[in-house]
Amino acid sequence: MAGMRMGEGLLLRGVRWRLGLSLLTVITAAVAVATAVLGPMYLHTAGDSVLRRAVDSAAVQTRGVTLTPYYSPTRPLPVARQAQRIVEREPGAADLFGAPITTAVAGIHLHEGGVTYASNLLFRTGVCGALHIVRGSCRLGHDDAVMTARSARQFHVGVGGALKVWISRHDKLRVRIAGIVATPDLAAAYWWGQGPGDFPFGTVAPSHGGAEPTDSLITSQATVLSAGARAAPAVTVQLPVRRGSVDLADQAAVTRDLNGASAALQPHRLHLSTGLAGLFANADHQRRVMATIVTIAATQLVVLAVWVLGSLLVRSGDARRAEARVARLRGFPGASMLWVTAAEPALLCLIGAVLGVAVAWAAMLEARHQLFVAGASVGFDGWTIAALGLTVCAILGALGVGTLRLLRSADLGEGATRRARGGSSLLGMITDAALVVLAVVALVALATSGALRGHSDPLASVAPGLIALGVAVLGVQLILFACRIGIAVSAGSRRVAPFLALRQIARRPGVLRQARVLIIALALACFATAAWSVARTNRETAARFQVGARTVVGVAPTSPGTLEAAVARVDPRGRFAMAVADLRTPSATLVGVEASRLRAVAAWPRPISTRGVAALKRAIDPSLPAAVELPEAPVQVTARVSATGQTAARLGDLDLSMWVFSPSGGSGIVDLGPLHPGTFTYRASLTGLCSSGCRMSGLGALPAIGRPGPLNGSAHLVVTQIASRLGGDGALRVASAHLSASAWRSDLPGVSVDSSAGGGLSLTVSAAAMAGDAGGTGSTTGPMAAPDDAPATLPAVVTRQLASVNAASGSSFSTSGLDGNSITVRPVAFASALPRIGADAALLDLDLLSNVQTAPTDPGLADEVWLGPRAPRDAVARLRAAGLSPTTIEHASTVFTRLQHSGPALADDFLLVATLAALLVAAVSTLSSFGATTRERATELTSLEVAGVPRSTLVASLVLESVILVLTALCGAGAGIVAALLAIPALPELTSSTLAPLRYALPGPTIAAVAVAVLLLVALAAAAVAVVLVRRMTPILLRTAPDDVAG
Amino acid sequence: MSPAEALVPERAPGAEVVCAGVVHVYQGEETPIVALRNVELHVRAGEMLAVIGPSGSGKSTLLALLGGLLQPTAGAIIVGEHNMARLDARGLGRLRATELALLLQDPLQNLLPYATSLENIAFAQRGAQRRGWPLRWTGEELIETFGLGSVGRRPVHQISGGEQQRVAIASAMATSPRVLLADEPTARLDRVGRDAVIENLRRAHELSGATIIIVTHDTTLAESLPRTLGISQGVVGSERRAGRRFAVAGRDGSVQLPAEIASRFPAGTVFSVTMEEEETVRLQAETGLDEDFPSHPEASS
Repeated sequence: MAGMRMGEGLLLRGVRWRLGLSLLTVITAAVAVATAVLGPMYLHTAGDSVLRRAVDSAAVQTRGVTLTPYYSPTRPLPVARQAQRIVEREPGAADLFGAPITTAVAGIHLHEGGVTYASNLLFRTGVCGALHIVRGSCRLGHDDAVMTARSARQFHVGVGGALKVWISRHDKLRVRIAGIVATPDLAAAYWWGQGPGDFPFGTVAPSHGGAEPTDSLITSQATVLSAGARAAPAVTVQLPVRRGSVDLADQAAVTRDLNGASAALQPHRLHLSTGLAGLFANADHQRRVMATIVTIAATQLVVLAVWVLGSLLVRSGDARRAEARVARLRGFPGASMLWVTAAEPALLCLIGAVLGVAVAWAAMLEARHQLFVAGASVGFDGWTIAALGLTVCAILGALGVGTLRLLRSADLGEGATRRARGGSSLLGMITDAALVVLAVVALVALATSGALRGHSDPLASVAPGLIALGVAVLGVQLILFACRIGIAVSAGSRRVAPFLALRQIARRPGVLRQARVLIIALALACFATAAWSVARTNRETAARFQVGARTVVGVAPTSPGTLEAAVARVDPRGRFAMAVADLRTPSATLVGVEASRLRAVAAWPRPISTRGVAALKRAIDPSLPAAVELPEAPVQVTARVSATGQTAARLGDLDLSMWVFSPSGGSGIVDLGPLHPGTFTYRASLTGLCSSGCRMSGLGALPAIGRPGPLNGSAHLVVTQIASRLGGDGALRVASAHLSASAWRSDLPGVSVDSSAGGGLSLTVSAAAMAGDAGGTGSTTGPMAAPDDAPATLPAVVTRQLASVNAASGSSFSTSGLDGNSITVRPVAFASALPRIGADAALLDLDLLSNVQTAPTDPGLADEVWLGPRAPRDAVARLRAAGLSPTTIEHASTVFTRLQHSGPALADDFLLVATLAALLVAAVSTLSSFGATTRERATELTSLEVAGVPRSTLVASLVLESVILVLTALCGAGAGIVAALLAIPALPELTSSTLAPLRYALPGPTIAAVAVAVLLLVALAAAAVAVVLVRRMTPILLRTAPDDVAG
Repeated sequence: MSPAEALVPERAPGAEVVCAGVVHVYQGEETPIVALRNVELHVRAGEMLAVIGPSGSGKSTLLALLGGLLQPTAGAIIVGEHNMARLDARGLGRLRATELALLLQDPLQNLLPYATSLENIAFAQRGAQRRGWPLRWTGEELIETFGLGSVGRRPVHQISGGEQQRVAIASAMATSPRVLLADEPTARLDRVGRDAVIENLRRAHELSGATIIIVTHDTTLAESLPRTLGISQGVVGSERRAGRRFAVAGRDGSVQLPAEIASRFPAGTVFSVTMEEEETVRLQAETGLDEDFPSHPEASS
């Protein structure tokens, strides 16, 4: 017992005696074990996080399960219930699903004012909770219903009123209106994203030949089913998946259960649909990417750490050789020899291993807060145990090699050490050659397999390690070779310092060989930093590109013109907000933007278009007169009229006519009264025609209704003012400031515009022109002059895909305008894709699009407000205050955050942290290589000083050695840059493909900063060692045995 | 008597050491080098002697051979009852843990620098303890015996070179060896340190009765011992006992002149040999031999 205590005491004294070496050994073992443990733990937790995020962030309809029959059952509810029971029978269903939502819909018709409307009786579980009750209540008894305020107005019914509902041509139902609700927001999760197609609320759907569609009536289930007895309602059951209910451990079971349920539903002709499988597949893909990169990074680091640990154990053996010799000298038996030679490093490795496991655990807990979703499980799995086991085996191997080497070198007989050294030198050369061959072969294999092409092969992450390895081995050999040449050159020189430095490096190649670790670590650090930075930038680009701007606010449909007006009120100077309208059709997407605001707001990466965004603005928004906007107020036109020929005689039969366009009401003609010779102010009301404002699309003369037009001559008008009278006080607002010929145009023969010498617009309308077009209601053309507020063909930024489909590049083509009518588009620039919109789109100026609109706006048009980087925090609130109703808000930062927590990003994070650990290992290696020879070096330097070499020369030689070491390490930066150039473009950075232009230019300053920081640290370490050496230079060293080496 | 002692046969405290025709050749940089040639040596049990000679004379090689660190190229070495040539690594280990103690030149080659004197002694005893070899003294007893009380609990790297050497001697004696081989124990020591070491070696001899062979080029140390063997160019040729000098005849009949006499005659000097009495041989340097006995009669003519 006492002997054991003494043994332990000696063990600890030995550890303390070689404290530096001991600490480095513990650190390196800790890094190796921590990495081995952290890698699988990270993969497990990150995989769980990715899966949870994929499922939880998916829309409810994607992650939920919908059960529908393949047929129309006569008793749909029992069928739906049966489907629900089948699914809920599966083992994990109770935990997976939330309360089911049953939807029953029966088609009905309503009649009002001689018009038939198509509608539905709708029941949906919990619908009352999702409605905003305006009046009445949502307590729905049999034959009770609630309806939207809009429908209530439409059908002139209020709370307590009754409505006849036609279930079929002969059957009708009388429902009592229990409450009035606001139009439901179909963007809310409750509606499962089913939109107006399923729940036709809030849209102004056009008539499709049959009955006019109108909002559904929301009733009780019993009411729908009783109606359904005659009209076969459709019943679906939706099972929402609870957030956080699916984790990595459950994934397989959930998949199995869903497959089982689906199979069980088949015989009953029931269909189960869910997006879970897609979500799982996406998460699996991310996990595969992550697993490859993390495994490669962790393996590289573990190998590096074990390599350094092996070197440290060899050094530790050298430091303990005297003790082993003493033990041999005193005839220790085998077990005791093993204790003397292996106990100390084994203890240090054990401490390192325990520390490593603790560090890995702590790192995971920290990472869970920083990188993973809440609830992601942290724990050991089989892979962790296997990786830990393998690493421990590798450490034991290194320990064994170190111990055997020590036992051999502690042989008291002559020649043993010499043999060992000779053997290790040869082994080192063979190993070097093997490593280079391995690196080259593996690189060639990677290149030929295509792993270094494209943006999707995580295997490319193995390339940097191979390049670094090859460069490290070759670089050190080349520098050693150069040093040997340098020795020959400098031997005859009078400058002693270079000779001494070169000789020192060539004499102790082992020290320089340790720089291989430094080279590899620096290369990996440069690569990982660059990869992390490039990927982050690309993810940021992709996020912005996907959203379109920093924030995009989807707003409820507004009356036309309101959107731009509201945006103008919120951001009058056009610094941060832009109104956008996009119309998605099956063939292409038309997007109208406020071109003047495009540059300040849109995320427009330069490479996507042939011209910069500023040039695009100029191209799609040519300098044209502003449209003549007219409010719903009396309009007046002052004109001096004269005429020739028969027209002069029949001037009173002609009316001054104004063509106006209302986006909600379409085109119309306003009669300003019969023409009078001389100057006269003509007036008309726009009430009912321009409820939400109008745009004047023309001004001319038309024969009065029922009067024939003149046969010859022409009417000549000099228009001096077009104005509106606003408000009760009748304040006059001039509608058009540009009453000059250049601001107007005429497309009809016989109508001409000119500038009047006395000021105003001179308009001549021939009798023939008036006879050619009588200008019926709704006509968009006629004997008129139109404000020249839009070109005939609209300039557009067109995606190449759309251009290639429609026409050869550069030529015009037709597409749909905001009203769905055909417009002609002229590409002025081409883009690979448009932010937010996609690769099959045309981008035009919204004003121009509005100005060419001749029919009411297409109901499919989506209104959005894009907010740029300079948008204030309360921008959305300001939009609300301006009268807009945001329905969706998308932030680029949210998408970016999601991407930053995706599998590839998490892998990049691990790679970056791993390279920091590699740098730590390299620091350990460098310090140990310096420390191992400090005393020996100090003794040599003392000898040289005693022999007459000035101390300044010795210091200079030490400085030169440091410079050579730094230059050697610099190879790592070079290798890192090459690796980055080669591998980064091949690595997957996103979870799915993007149309955003990704850039792979290396972040020069970042790489330079990393390289300089590392090299500076190396230089500082070398300087510190030089200082220590110089301080230790004392003649007493010359009396001391060389084996007296402390750590 | 401890149970371990009961297992060990009764032995004399010292052991006889014999070298018979020992030759040792090692591989030099280019050609093999003969370090020892036909060494004949007989050291009685319990004897204390010095092997003295200049650097490169082969004395350390002789010690290494006696300690089993090297194997002789030819000849036999017997330490106690053990033929060193027949011992394998395990046998050598057992011998070093029990009967044979080696004291290498640098004291720190015999010690753990970070351990105290007591711990070093205890460390040295561990091998013997594991092998059941009876230990005659505790660490404290050895510390007291060798006058190391003041430094007994200090790490040895903190004590002087002389003290380190004395701790090394104490450690070597810790296993109660029958033979102690010491290599240059007074090297690099000042006079005080040297005297203390010599005193400690004497005390070790008195205490244990072990055979002690000291390799040294320190004449003061050598002269303080009752028997000194002179070794030169790999041959043990002279001996001094009780102040008298002796030449030693080799197995091949060679006799080496004492160094101070040999230096008066250049190599190749021819001596006439005359047997005068039973144990008296007369050597007469012949300076004009070439004229008297020409190798080539024609040349002389």
